[in-house]
Amino acid sequence: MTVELPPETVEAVAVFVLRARRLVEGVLGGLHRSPFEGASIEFSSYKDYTPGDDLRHIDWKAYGRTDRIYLKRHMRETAASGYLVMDRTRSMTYRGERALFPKMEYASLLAAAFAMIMLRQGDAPGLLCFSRSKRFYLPPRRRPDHLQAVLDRLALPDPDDVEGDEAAAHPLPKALEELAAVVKGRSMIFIFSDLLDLDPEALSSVRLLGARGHDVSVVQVLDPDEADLGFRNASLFVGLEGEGELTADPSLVRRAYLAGLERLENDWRKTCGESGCEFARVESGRPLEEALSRLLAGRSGRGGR
Amino acid sequence: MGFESPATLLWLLAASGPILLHLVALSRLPIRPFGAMKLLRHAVGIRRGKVRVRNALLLTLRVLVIVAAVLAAARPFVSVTGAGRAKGTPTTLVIVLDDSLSMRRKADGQTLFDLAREEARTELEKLGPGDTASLILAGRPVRTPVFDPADDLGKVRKELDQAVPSFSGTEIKKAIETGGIILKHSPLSGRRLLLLSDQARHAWSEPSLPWSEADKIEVKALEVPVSSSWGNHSVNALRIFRAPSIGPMAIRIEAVITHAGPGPEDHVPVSLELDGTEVAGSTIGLLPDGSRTVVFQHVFERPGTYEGVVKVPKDHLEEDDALSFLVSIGRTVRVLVVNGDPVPASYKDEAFYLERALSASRDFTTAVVDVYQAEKAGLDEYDVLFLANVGAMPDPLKAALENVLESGKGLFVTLGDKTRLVEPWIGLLPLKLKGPTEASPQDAPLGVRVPGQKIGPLAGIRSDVTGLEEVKVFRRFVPAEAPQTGLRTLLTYEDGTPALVEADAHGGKVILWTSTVDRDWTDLPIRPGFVVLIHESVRYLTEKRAFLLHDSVTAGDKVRLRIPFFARELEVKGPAGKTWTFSAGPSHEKSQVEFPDTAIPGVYRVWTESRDGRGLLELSDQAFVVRPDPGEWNLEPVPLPHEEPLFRIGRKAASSGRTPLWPYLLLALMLLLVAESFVAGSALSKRTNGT
Repeated sequence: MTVELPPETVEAVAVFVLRARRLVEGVLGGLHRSPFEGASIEFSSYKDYTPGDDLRHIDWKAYGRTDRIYLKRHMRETAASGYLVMDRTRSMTYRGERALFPKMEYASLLAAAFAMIMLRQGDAPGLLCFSRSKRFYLPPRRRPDHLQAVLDRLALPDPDDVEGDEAAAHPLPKALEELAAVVKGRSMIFIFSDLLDLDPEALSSVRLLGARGHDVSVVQVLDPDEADLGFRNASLFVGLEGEGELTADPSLVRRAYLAGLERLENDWRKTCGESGCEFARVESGRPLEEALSRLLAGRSGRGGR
Repeated sequence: MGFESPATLLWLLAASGPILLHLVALSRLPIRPFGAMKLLRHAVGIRRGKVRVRNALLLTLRVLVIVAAVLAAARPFVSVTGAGRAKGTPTTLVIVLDDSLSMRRKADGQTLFDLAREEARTELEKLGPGDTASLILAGRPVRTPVFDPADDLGKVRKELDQAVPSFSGTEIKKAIETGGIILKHSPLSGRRLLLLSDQARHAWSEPSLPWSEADKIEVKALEVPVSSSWGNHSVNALRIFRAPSIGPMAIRIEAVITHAGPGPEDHVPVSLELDGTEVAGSTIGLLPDGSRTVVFQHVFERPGTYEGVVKVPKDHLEEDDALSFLVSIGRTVRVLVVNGDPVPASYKDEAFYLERALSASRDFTTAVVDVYQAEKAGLDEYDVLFLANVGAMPDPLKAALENVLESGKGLFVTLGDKTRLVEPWIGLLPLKLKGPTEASPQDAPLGVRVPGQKIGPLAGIRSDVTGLEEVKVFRRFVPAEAPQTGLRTLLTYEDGTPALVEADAHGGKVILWTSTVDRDWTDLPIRPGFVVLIHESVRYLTEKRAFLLHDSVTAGDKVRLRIPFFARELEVKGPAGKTWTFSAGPSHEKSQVEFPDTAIPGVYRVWTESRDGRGLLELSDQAFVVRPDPGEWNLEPVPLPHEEPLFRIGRKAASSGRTPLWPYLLLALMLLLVAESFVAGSALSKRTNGT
């Protein structure tokens, strides 16, 4: 069945894809090393030398023949799968005055960049979008046209269509459990979420994935307003996920709020550290390139798994 | 405790401002969708207690700041009554309340009288069981609604509530003396006199206090707070004259405008209204404590009675900014003298004396004819006929004479040697005459007596100008028999026989002088009272005036009203439709009544039942005007009386009178502001620091 998308959606997707490609080109052009490079003896291809590349991979013979410096690239022994887990609950639609994008779009652009990079180096990106009422799962594929499917899905503004029940649990743990059930072998798992209003159960889910040997990266996407509660005047705060209303003077509660946020971050860092997972926090008020570079640099530091 | 400016307390409503602003701000908070509600709710939960306390404290401090500021602006004070009412000391309180015209002055929307009455109520509230109180109203005349000190304070309060400010002057001295008498005879040991007056200079003189220091009487004079300027201009007096040089129906009005104030007043408009229409105006400048006379002249187009008023712009005391008058303008009275015995020698001619007397007034137009000319003269054209020594008359003239009387006009008859007692017109009077008496050189002339109660034309003649008592009569006609009912004797001879009589006849009035009006039989024509008698007789017979300026009395004065002989009742209609009725008595024994109720300024008109009983007849010449007391114009307050040695008697006068509380409130206000700044500042620093 073919569904004809509205023109504005098509345009939005095109803009999204263009933005993601620029992001990838811009960031990868400045990177000294490929973030997902594998370690293998099977030759894959040559690559022009870029300052900062590992000198161990220079093909000195080729240099002698051609007087140009090439790097030998090697295939990993088995192609890896990467899963992009996207939080699409309503809280991810928030965009403060200082943010560049809503958190959801910010996270999607980062995920799209990851997907492109994975496909470039032969990995298969998969996608799991979850919200309180919906699940969307796109299995990992290595085909070039798979990228378009991933990007299309990421570009769609598809937030949760039901208000959350304050008492009900956040859907992230459940989504991770479902993912754990379908993931085979060791895979890269990138979780994009604000991690707000989560129960401790979510930590257990991540800990479980780490224990199974997956390369898990938890990316907490926060709006600058959420990161520092920078409002000036008392306001009536309305929960995006149906948490009700709350009158508060940010100037008077900021200290307690930031303390709670720091505690939350520490819990995640501690859990991820103990499980061999990576935790990173990005703010939607910072340039995407900066966020992506930081995430990729973090991965390079890990040396791949 | 009281307030010098109680109206300011209305601003206490502003104390609700911070609370309302807080509620409004709550209802208008910006709405922010937010994702991290769990964290935020947790943070709010931690800080909730402190935030609530801080907000409540801030709100309370802001409300208190406004309350303190308003209270300080209202200048509160605590009344210190000298020794006050010592515990267990029964006290008699005499309240002397000035209810004169000047207490109608307005300050802050209230009259000074209202403020003074409020002070009196406050003082009454301080009394307890066993205390007594009296109430004296110091307006002229002094009244004592509660003279004997009453332990029923409710009665005093009730009288206080019913009191209203008058339009009359002040009798402070008499009021204080009356209060002193009450206190001196009070059996209670505590004795206080509370004087509530604006202490306007026009009324204030040092009263001699009828008690000594040994009497231990405490005087407390309260200053009525005056927030308005005491400057006052007024229409103080009116002088109104005929202005014959301008026209027969012209008047000249001289209005005296006074001004008491701290500075001059320029361009003060003065206007003259007649029957509600402004007919003239002028603009004057007034110096402090000075007066100016403004002259208006007006020519009336037709006869009538006109209500006039001279006005200046209203100031704090509106009641003296206009002064009314009432004037009646009529055409001249036409008098016909029928000379029954014309002679060339004027001193022997009755008509000569009558004409000379009548010509002394511009109100009368006089014509003199003999009997035969009278027949053709057209008697209907005249208002009054004089028959001077007329003998036989042609029948047409007799008939015309009766017609004249039937039309309500008057006839004045004088006798003489030509008079024939058989003539029918003599019978118009219920009196049969004989004579004339013979006069011999031995006989002493008879004098004339003026009765104590003057009636008819004599009622309008002042006793000191009549000269009638000096009249001597040598010959006269005397009654042939006892006078019949209906005859009114105006003057008598020394022997008691009637000299001047009056009666109704054919619907008109007839006056008969039983002697001559030349010098043959009497010296009446050369006495000063003759002219006045003739003038007043004409006015009485016609009830017409060419010009009458009606009486103007000061509020509180009494007015004497004449009851016509034919009237059983007199009805007075005052301002605002109020009426009073006076009875002449069952046998018409009253010819005058005293009208006492002149409290309200304005025009008062007098009515009675008409002679034919078919309607009301206005007695226009008895209408009068009541005016506010002209002495209440200088409102400059004199120095506080309790600062004068005069009042420092007894235990000690309330030299301080009041202890002001506003300095303490200002101090409290400053402390509150500091506290508010501290609390608000701490919150601000938290905001600034972002913590």
